[in-house]
Amino acid sequence: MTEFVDLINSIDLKNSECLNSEPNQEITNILKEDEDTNFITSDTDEQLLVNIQFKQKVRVHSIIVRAEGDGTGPQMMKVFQNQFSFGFEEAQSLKPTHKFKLIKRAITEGKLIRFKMVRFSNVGSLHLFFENNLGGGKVTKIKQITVVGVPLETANISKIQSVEEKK
Amino acid sequence: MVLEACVILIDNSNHSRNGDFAPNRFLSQIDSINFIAGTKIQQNRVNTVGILAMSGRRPNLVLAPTNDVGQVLIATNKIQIEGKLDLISSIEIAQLSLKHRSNKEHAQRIVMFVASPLEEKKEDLEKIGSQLRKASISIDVINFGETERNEEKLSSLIDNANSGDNCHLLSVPTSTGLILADQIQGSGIFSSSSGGMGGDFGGSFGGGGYGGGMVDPNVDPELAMVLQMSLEEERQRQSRLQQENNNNSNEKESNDQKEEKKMDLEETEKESQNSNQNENIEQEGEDDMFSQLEGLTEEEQMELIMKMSLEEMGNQELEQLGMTKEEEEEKEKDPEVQNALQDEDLVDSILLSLPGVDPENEEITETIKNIKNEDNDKDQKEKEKEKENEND
Repeated sequence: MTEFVDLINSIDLKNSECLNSEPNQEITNILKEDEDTNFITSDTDEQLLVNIQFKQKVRVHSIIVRAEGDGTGPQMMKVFQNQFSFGFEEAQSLKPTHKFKLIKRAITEGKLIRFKMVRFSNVGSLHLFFENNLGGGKVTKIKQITVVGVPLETANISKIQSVEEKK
Repeated sequence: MVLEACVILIDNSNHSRNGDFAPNRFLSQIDSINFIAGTKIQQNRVNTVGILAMSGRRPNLVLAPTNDVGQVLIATNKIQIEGKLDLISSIEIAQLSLKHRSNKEHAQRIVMFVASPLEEKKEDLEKIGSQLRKASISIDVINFGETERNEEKLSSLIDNANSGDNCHLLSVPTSTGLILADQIQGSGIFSSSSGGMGGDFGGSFGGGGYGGGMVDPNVDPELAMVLQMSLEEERQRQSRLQQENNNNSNEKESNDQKEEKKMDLEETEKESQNSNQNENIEQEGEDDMFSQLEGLTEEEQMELIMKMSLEEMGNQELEQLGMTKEEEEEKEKDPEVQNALQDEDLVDSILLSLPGVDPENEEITETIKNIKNEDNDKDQKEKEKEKENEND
């Protein structure tokens, strides 16, 4: 069986973004390894939209969403893939590939949320629409998002050697 | 400098026919749009500007976001005055246009002109303000013409769209003599994004070039150097001319005027040189002369023209003699050119080659004599100076 890895190295941070976050917050708060120190907090209302762009095509196995247990954690998560210019209008009108209702334990303990890999076998970009939060308040906070899977076979440049070296 | 994609929303409804902003609200918007687009693209060559006409059968994207100022000028001429303002749809279409921008790294901005009394409800405006904020689109609103009636609604729109002071509301009341473009220039619409450089562009923008040389060191260091060198040369020439003219009492007054004009022309000169390359330093002297023509009377213009053409002819003669370019630069001091001028036959032949000049015209012969005398005077003074320098 192939090993599933944290796809953090496959994420194209420059082209990833989080919509409706507070002004000075960056997507790296939740996608980079230093978890728990930085948050993403929602701004105008309780919805958040996270667009994750990958550097290459990947297969997504599961996802981990970390948040506080105080009611600011997200509840309904709709997952879309391979969309272009994805905004809130599209998120609310299109049919998601997956719909999850998160529970408090899952987000506080960082449990794996399994995807149907068959449906996520060729993902270039992943879009997570957090529609509401557990407490029903106006603010949603997310601490960390980790995507687990395996990158698809593509040319691995570091393995290309000149013929002489192989001798 | 901020990387930005901007869509400008123009109010081309029938309310814009109103002449309270001269010549009418619509045309003052066109002016302002040309100014805004030019400034934004000047701040950063990669910035894009699009134009959307809000009124008519439906809001119409007249120009898709582009970084070509020429396209902006063309597009603004195509817009017709018609119909009523449809604010909400216009903003949504602008939002769509920005969402599909070519470079995702551009910050998104809408600049909206409102000159009609708004019929939309305040709640609807607040809703669309929040929508813009969610999509991280900042909006600037220019409220003019119907200011009191729209003030409340538009300020609530701005409040809802504002996150961290990136949205502005500029209200220009109807009073005599206010020009819309000037009000925009002095407002916070540009200073927030570029840190205060916007205000300087107003004066020199007319020429269409870099404003005051401030942009140059960052964008194009070579061009900055060239402009600086030409500035220095100009100053040296002016101080030299000033000394000579102070000695010549008859021409004192007219030359004071000339100097003032030269100072003004310096600025226009810088702008007109924005597309020149380094090689054009040598043509510096000739360009100065041409730009001075406009400020002088006809007689003096004739004098200058004669002078320049004779010098040019003298240059060609020198080329034939096999002199290098560097020596040609010192043509004013070169005695051979002066001798060439003295040669009447040569002068006649040159005059014949000039179009529209009758060599036997009295005025022309007189002016030639004057030029020769002046040159001789200048020669002598320069020689005197050289001697003084040597003595020092």
